[in-house]
Amino acid sequence: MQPNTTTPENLPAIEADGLSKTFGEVKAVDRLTLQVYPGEIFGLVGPDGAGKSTSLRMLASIMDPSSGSARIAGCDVSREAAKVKEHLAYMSQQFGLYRDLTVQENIDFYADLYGVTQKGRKARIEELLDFSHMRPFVNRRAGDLSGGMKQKLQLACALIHTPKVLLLDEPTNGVDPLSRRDFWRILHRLRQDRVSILLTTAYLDEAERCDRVGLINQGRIIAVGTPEEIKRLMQGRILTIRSNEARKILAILQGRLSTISANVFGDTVHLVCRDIEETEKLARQVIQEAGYPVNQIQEAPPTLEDVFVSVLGHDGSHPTRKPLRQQKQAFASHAATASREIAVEVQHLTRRFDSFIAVDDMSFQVQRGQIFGFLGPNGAGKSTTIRMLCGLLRPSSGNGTVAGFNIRTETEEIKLRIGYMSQKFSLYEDLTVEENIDFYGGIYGLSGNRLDLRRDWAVEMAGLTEHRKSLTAVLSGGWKQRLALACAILHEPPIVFLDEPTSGVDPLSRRRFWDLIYSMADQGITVFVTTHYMEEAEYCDRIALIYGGKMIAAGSPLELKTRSMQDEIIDLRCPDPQALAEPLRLLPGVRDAALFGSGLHIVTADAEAARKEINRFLQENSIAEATLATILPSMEDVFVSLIEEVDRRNLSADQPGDRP
Amino acid sequence: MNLRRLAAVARKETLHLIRDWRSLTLALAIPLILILLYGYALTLDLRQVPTVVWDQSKTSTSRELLSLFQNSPSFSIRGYYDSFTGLQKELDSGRAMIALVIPADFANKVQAAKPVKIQIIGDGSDANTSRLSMNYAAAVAGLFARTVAAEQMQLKGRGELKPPVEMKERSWYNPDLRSQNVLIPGIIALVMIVVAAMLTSTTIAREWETGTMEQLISTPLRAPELIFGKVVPYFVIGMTDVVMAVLMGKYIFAVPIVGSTLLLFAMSALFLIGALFFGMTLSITLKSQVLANQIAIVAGFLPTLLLSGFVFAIENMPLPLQLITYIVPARYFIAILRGIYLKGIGLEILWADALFLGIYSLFMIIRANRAFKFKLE
Repeated sequence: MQPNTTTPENLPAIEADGLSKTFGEVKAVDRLTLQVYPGEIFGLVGPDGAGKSTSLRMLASIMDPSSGSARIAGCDVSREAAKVKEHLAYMSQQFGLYRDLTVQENIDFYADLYGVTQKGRKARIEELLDFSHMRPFVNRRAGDLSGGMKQKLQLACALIHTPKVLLLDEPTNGVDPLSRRDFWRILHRLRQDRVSILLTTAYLDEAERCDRVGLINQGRIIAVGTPEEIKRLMQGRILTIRSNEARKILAILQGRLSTISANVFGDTVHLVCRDIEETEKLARQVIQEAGYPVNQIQEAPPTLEDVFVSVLGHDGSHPTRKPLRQQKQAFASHAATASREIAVEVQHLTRRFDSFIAVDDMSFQVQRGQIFGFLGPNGAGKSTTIRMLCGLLRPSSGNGTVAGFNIRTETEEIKLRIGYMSQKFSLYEDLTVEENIDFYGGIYGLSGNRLDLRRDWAVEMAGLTEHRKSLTAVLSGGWKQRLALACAILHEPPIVFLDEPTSGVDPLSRRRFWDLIYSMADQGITVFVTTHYMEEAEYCDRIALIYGGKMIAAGSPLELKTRSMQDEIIDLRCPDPQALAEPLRLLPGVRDAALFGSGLHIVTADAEAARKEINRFLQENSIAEATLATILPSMEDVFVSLIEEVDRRNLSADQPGDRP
Repeated sequence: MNLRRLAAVARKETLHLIRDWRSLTLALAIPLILILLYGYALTLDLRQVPTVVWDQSKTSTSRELLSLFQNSPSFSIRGYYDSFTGLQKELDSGRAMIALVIPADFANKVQAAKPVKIQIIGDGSDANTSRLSMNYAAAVAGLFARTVAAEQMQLKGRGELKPPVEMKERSWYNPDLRSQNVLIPGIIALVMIVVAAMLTSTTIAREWETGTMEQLISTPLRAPELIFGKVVPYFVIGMTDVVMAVLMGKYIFAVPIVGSTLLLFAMSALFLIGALFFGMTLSITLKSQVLANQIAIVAGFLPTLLLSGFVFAIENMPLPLQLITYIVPARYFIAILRGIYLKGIGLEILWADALFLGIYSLFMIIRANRAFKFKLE
């Protein structure tokens, strides 16, 4: 890109000055002030309804502010909207392109809108197609692309006129890890071209990759700084206890310790406390008394998510922990029967749609009371499998049982014994909270006293006691999600299927939601869940990795990290890691290098040999402030490396990889 | 307004239309069906009115009269009865529209040149047809009376009878009084308003509903470029429909165009623009495809059918309704079409109607652009 003439390097390309937006009584954005400089990636994070999208829309000059002002590349968004739009690329949260047009047609349309001249156009489009790895799909309809490809196409369309400012509203929402890596690679190239990027995200590991982060809540920015600076806001320190009995340990600790918060993530108990030494001593003592095994107790550095929860966790929009205890009684009936029985079992399950095989010869077992995670990119066959298990779709071949009933012949029996929550929460927006509950209660045949009891329970579980009579449409994402879950389990089913229940929900609500899932599992309910979020995968008891309709790996998170993965992972912490990713990838013995949190994860077959190479490289380039560590791979590493292995195999087996 | 961006929108909208073959087919099939339906079903001419007879006279004279009815294209004698109950049954069941009763002394009185009365009974439950057919029947009977009188004069050797006053009926512009000649122009208007308003009523709302609007607002595209660009492909379809309607009128219903075909298409284009922007305005204000579509069909169809002079003469309406017809654009359009089709007149007479049509279209264009807020609320 040519040197910037209108915005000198030292001037911010995005400037908001007391920007406010009021909808009726509600202040959606309250005196937002921020600057983003050329070549900077700024992440705006906050819970649902915090005002992130509204802020972006005002900056993009597609919504008028109620008060305050903002400038994009020096042009006022209200008075010079036309100029602003020339310098700007904006990507809305919804897919903003035409599904019935091909990739090429969509790009051409945007090129025309931005007045890209015929001369430079061809080269620019070629560049963008390579950039986004979209070239094989130019003639495909946009509606037939996967979620990740849609986002990349939208980005390509937005970038057609080489903008100075890029505004992205949750660009990687619902996008699988592979596509997310691609996406971030593109963003960093733009950053090197000195584009100013402002994005909102619900993935806090993505926020860690930003140069600076703004925490926003209830329309107000409460903190701005580098991820490291933000992490210093953490109230208290974090003690982690790894154990195979993590959930039981949490249960005995909860009454005994005075912690700020206590959660379980997979096999790890997370305690946030003021006095870490005192807490550790006490915890060891309590656990020893109870006789539970412990693998490791140590302090962990806070992640952005920890900060997010600790800073924002106390606002009124989230239910207190109290209702959880009442839930225990509600599910007591199942707890008594919980044992190592099989809740779900399938053998050679296959589903074809014409010539397309959506689910290919899948076999697995899920035990009662287990949290079973189903992981895979869009279109891998997760939802199809769940629909077959729920009796909504007939398998083409193979067989299975759910709660002891055959999925081919006894679907009506199954429907009585399962709860199903679909990706799009199937609530009626024009009904109130109670009316929705009553409707689903009616469907499951609840009435009279039982319905009254369950309604009260559901309202309390979802934390909607004060909003019983509110229209569902006005609820935020996290609330809707909990209400949808409450509706799905009104009839106290022994098995619950959750199809991407946390997609697009903020981290705080996600944690609350997982608390609910854990307490359900504790009562002996089997939870079957699909997710995109790799951290969430770690919270499951067992995981199955699905790719191309096939199950490519299964096991506990630890098993997957230690056994299924042949490659080793080296974690590199250094300044400006993205710049190093490309050269590092070329080193001998290095298979891949990708951003992870605020560092790089380097994939290698032999960590020892690779570390030598990397150290030499770091010395040659005189990068001093770098730390290297061979680590246990993250779930994302496992996911990506297993999928790439399958792709490599397919590549050598047949024609060039055409990942859908 | 930037024409390149406008063209980009038009091109994109055309692609949508081509991809969405269902609505494209609908846009071309609806006129076809409407024209056939109205062209054949909606006729104001009397044809083959089912008639039953009680011939009490049963003479060659009475048969002479009946043969006049039989030979007329307007009547078709379906049966002969010997009692009122027989006639009544046919009328009750709807198998006959009118009944003729010829008195027993019919022949005698005619021979004696004395006045004679025939009874014509009509089915009043279908008042219009009944009144018409009774008038026709009276005319047939009158013809018979004149023939008889003339014969008798001749017999008496008094030469030809010259009635003192003779009405020479001639219908200008439509000599055969074919109702299709009058209806086809109205059908063209009806087809155009339904298709045009229906097509454009979804376009803007669709962008809001699918979330593509937000992305569009963020680009340098301006609101008028979007509106006009979107209208272009629908204008082409609308004009195709007009050509189709005119051709069908000419070759299927044999309705000739006396006046200038060029003027006909120019005026149609003017009306079409108004109808397209009417649908656009609905789409813009309602922001819902389904709602805008339904309202477009109802609000386009009904006034054009009822208040334009298409079927029901405006002069016969009560005054308040007459006043309302002044804001129905089809009123002017149909007047223009009939003028061109039947009278062969041009703008020297039709200028006022054309002016109103132009004002209407301009108003709708402004309305659509004013209503459109190219921002998120």
